[in-house]
Amino acid sequence: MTELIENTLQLLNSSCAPEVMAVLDPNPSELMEAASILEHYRIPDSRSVKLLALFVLLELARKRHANVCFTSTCLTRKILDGDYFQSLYIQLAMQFEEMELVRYLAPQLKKYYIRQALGKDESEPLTFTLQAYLQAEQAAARKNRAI
Amino acid sequence: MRLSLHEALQIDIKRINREIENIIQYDKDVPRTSVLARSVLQLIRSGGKRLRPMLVIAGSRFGSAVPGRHQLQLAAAAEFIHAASLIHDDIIDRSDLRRGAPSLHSQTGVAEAVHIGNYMSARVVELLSVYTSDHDRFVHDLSSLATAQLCIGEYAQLDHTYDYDLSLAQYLEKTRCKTAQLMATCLRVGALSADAQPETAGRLYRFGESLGMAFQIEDDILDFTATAESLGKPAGSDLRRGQVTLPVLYALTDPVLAPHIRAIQADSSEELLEYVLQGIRSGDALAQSEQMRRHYLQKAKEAAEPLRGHPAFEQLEVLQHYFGGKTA
Repeated sequence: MTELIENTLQLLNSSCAPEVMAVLDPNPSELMEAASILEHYRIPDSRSVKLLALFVLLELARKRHANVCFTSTCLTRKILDGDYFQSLYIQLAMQFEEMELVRYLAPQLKKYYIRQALGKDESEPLTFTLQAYLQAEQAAARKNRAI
Repeated sequence: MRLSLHEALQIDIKRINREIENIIQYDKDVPRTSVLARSVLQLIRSGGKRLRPMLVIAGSRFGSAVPGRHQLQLAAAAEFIHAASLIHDDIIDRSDLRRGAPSLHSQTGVAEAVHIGNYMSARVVELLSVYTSDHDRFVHDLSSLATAQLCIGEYAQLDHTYDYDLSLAQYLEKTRCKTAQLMATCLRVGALSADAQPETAGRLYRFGESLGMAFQIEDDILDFTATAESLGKPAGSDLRRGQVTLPVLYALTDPVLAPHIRAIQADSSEELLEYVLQGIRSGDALAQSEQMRRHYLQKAKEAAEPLRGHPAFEQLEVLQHYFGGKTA
């Protein structure tokens, strides 16, 4: 699992534009949890790295834009980082041919921002959403095999 | 009487506006009377030139397919992405005004406004996420490549605030990322959505990129020449915020004015700012900037030239005329 996380962060480091000088500081416990979900669903290593990278970008985008205000330190950088990670998520999902994930997650992510904009704090952790996607994907694969 | 751009391009702007509003009004996840729905609609209805949607539609006329609802949706998505970026820009710039009215964050609070901008981007991703085939990959350029470039342009702007050693090349690159690429992408996405040849879409991209550069340079010039009323913000705002725009870069070559420009920092006095503003207005910097703007308009013209035989070529001439005739 450590190798998966290391490879993921390495992939993200090389994917971020150098001028962004991005600091990749995902929440370690969420990262571990996401990695263990990928392991549980027996996702091949080569794909796990990509899925975990996409997960990290979404998590970082949320983190940077959480509870910002004019007195926040580095407000500008936080806003730009959040926007950049969000756009890089789409860019990499396309590159990794994971647009089905984007399609699945799009309404969930949108609803998250609606709740945040309306001042409602409650939200499902991203790891739940990742798990639901993998579950749905495997169910669809089983159904296809049965047909 | 001079036609407006949408009239000259024969674009039904009301339909585009309706399509933009539909993006939020048909979102069943957004309560109709919520602050979110009201704020987004208010921002959309507060004006704006709708340049990006018009570029999508103009681009689509270079395809073999007849433009229809799909192109209108993409046009509306382009405006949504642009509007979302404006919300975040206003927070970054701490601008209280947008189009002469209170900016969105002044009404909702910063945290809420950040998420309203995020909602708008996420809504576009949701709408476009139905396009998963290889053939339709290009539609995602609006919310991925173009948006990432926009951020990179903003990062560059942030890193070079009050940086009076900024080079011309750095300024041009920042401008390309911040403004020109989204405009270029709109033309290309429009073209590809109507099955235009990749070569044609590439030419339209280059045309749009040069036009976008000219557009941003014009904006930089207007910061010194236009009235606060027409700008919707105080004249000289860029200079006050430490933005080293093209006129400032040229003015820095004036040995008399340069030390005064270099003295401008966040806490500078109004007297110093006014002195520099006047100095830039009365010197050669604005004329030199205008020359650079003309250079990009000429580049746009050259990029469009191979498309002269196309039935939609007139659209590009209209755009050139519109972008070329404002500052001069």
